[in-house]
Amino acid sequence: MTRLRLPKPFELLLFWHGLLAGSYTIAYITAEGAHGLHQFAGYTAVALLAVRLLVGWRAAGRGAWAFPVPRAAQWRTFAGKLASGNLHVLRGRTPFAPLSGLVLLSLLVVVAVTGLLADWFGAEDLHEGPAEASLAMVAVHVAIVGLGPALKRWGPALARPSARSAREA
Amino acid sequence: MFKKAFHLVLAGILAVGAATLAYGTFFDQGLAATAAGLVGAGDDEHEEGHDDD
Repeated sequence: MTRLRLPKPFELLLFWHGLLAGSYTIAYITAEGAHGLHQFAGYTAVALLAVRLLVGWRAAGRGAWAFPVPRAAQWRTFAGKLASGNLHVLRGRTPFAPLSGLVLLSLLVVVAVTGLLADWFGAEDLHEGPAEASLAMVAVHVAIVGLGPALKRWGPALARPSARSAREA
Repeated sequence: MFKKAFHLVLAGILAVGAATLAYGTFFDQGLAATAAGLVGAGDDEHEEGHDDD
């Protein structure tokens, strides 16, 4: 029998991440042609960011909801291994992942605040620049977060010579 | 772990998508216009143009 349990903080964070990703995507897509939906998705994103900032501030550097600040020790370990030629350090999670998350979170707060200014005071020019820049940052964040696990999963297979080329050799 | 994380994120995206679809259908411009808006084919500016006529 399956037992129900309360979700763990990290699971809630992943779900929050999905809610934010969904509201951001919808807000971006509807920016030009569907004002009502853009407002709905935008205000949803504002609420989600407010929750994240509040809980992250309350978490005070501990737990899953703490702000993703890469620690100095992580950088030292990462740089040390990389300097010694150990490229395996690029597989899995690097300190660039939390750094890109932090930069993206900060940029989305700017997008959200300027979005509110655009809605309340008509300052749309102020909102467009950060909104467009945020898409590039999303792409960078996805690339950084996805690269490590992708190398971990497919890196060894790519590095291994295929059976056919081994036979031919 | 990756699959579970992916499913949780996907659930969040779908939840917001469903909420936006419900909002657009019942409180904004109806199902057809909402569906069009969600695929990036919204026509707000065109309708505003008609209002001016």
